[in-house]
Amino acid sequence: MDAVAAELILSGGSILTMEGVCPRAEAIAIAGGRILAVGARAAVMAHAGPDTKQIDLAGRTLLPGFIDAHGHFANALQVVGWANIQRLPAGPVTSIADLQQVLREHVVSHPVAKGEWVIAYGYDPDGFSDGRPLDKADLDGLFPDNPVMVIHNSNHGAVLNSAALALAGYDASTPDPAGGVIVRRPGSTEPAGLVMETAFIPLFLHMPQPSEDARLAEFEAAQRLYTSKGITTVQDGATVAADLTLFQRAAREGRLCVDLVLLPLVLDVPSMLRERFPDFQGQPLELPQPAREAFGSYRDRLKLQGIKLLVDGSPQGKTAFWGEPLLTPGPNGEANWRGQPVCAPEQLMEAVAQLSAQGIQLFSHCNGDAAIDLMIEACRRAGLNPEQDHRTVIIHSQFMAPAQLEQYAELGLHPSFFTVHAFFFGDVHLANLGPERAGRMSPMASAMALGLHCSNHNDFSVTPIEPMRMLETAMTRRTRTGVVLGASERVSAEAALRALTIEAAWQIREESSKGSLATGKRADLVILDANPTETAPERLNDIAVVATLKDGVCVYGSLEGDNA
Amino acid sequence: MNDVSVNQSPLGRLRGVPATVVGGYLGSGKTTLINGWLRDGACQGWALLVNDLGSINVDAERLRQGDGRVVELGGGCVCCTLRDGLGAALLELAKRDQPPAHVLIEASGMAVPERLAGQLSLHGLALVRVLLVVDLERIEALWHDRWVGELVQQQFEGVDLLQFSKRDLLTPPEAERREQWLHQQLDASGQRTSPPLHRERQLARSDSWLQLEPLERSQVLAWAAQLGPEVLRAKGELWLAEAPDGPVSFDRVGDRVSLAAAPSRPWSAPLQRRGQLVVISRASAQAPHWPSLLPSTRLIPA
Ligand SMILES: [Zn+2]
Repeated sequence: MDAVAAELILSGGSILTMEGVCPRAEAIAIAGGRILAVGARAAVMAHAGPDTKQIDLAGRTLLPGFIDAHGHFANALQVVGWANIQRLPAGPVTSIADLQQVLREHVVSHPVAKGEWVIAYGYDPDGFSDGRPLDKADLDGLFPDNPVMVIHNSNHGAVLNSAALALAGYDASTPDPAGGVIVRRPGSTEPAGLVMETAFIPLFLHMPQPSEDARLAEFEAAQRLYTSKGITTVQDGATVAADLTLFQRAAREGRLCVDLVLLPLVLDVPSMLRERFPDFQGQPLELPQPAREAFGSYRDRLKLQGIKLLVDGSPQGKTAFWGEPLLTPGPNGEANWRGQPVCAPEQLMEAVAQLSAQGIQLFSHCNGDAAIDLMIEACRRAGLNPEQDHRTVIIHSQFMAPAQLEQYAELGLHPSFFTVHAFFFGDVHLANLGPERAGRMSPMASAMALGLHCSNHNDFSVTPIEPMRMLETAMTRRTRTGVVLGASERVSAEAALRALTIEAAWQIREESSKGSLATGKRADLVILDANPTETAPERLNDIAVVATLKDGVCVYGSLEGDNA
Repeated sequence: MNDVSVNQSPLGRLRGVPATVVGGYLGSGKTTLINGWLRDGACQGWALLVNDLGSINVDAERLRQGDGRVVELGGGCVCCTLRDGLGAALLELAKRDQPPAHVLIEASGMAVPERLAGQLSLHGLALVRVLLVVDLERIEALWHDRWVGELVQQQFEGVDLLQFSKRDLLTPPEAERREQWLHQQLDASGQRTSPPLHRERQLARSDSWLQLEPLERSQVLAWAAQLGPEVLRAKGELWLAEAPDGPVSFDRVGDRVSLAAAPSRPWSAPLQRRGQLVVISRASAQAPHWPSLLPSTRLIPA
């Protein structure tokens, strides 16, 4: 008999453990932030003591807390102050009038003084019933004295109102910059509101630059975006130098209620090092011993896990790097466009060799098959092999060519997939790539069959934080219009759940403490109001989170489920 | 409203500051050239924006001892990082007491110089030179490279001048052969004018002129015809008496002169009619004469 009594025992619902030997349990006991016992009800109840709180799940479903396998927590700090104008079902908008209504309500809850920015995200003109895109005039009536920016769902452009256009200095006389477009009203050169790519980038300079204190104040709301969806380990998957300082301060001040995993962006590593180790003299990307040792363990819920490399852009923005041209013109009308890498091959080879030799885990953003090829080549030249247990993760692994998964297996690379692309951008991918190439997106079933550790992600804020939509799209691979992309790559609910839990934990080297329900693991848990393994895929996204527990403490909802 | 916004712009202080962009694929020799210019003293009081402080360390120190400033550019895809590395670097410059006399930007090896130039213009700087540094030894292999071939080709678009680095490492006939090969490729890819060559190691001279009175089309063409061989390129937008509705673009490379038939866009304000020309010449050239009989009212040193 165990000396420690349980603080909390939950039973009376479905308990999905994500453990191979015992996938279902009847009860779970928690003490000291860890799982004391999980399994048959009678065995778990043996841990009950006089002060044990017993919770009846009342038929609800309990799982390990979800792990954000890739996303950008830094963006959450911004987005919490923005209006969500995504189209149904990710947001409330189906028309320009809806969008205007959301903006009206937003400024009631987030009042702005004259001249202050109003920012909305998730603009998707295809979702409007109006049959026309948003024009600056649609925003001017509501906000004559405030600059407004309605960010396109690609994050590569935005619709501006007249005040924002004036701030940027864009008018009928402004030529389109190379690599960008200022969309004009028909028959004139007067800007209509939408600016894309290089015409959008200069806007960042005009946007509010919140102070560190103001950003710290957003941590609670930003973490709630995750805990309200059952996520207990969050990622900032491209940490820049200024944010590292901010995150470290937030952690020190005890502001984190979930675990936060940082992947410093390789481009920013030199300045991070200069700031912290001003006297260190080394090769480029050579880390001093204390910097190397800073990776891999939590301090005040914050850890650095690896370094983020960027090899290409995004497929929906057509800035990914493919082996063969797209069926449609490039982002600026280019013929035979197959995208481009964003880093020089020589530099990638060098970075992979240098960093992996120092024992730093690598997380590499690769969307197109040519970017994936380039990364495979870099790993091959660096001499990576599975015996080293280096756990290099290829984030997105989106459009894989045949035989690339086999090369992953040979070199010890593992994919973090992005299956919600099927829903949000699948129809676009079909048009750009045709059914065969589009059907090879996020090949989860093939990867699992090869024994690769596959996680799945939302890449927030590229898509909303929706674990259940990840599940749904891994199972159905269905586009908005109902086309199934690559039917043979669909996986079971159990397999899709593993990608959000135990496999995601493995990729950040936390499989021994997280990702499944087993004695001694952290009590990071989520309680759902329905069992996702028994729910029709198209209903999955309706499942609500009743409660989220981090280290045994309820950080969202309530165990009794009375606010669900 | 526009005037208000100019004052509000966080980069207001950099408005009209001349800017030079130096592009070229990784390893093309940009840093060596720039370091040479710093040693020559061609960049007194300039701000230098570089991608990697490490690569230019020694001479950045030299620049700091003068009146210059060095700022590092950030990078990354906008859609993940939601930031503008160039804008942030310019903001650093704009915060200082004195605006720099000139901003020189060493583009990253993966950047398309034309795009960087476009960003600088949107931010209100006055572009005076967009140079592409080309390594004649490697260009043929890079042009067809399986990873970066298309990018390397795209880097040639919209640049004012090609600057060959390491030309002296090749025998003269070999250098000649490769120059010709490159010209054939550029002409074949040919949507736009292939940029002229600059064979010296010194920084090409660049002079700007602001045109405040209209010119006749014939005056412009006559002026272009008399420019000597020391002028490598002349380009800009002009106010023509025949086209009162907007600026007309002008470009001269070698003997080829193009003067657009009509404006492609209106003036920024009805009363703000003005033209602007940039003349890029060999480092040893004299200041050019401008196409007007009237004395130019404002010269921008560059
Ligand atoms: Zn990302």
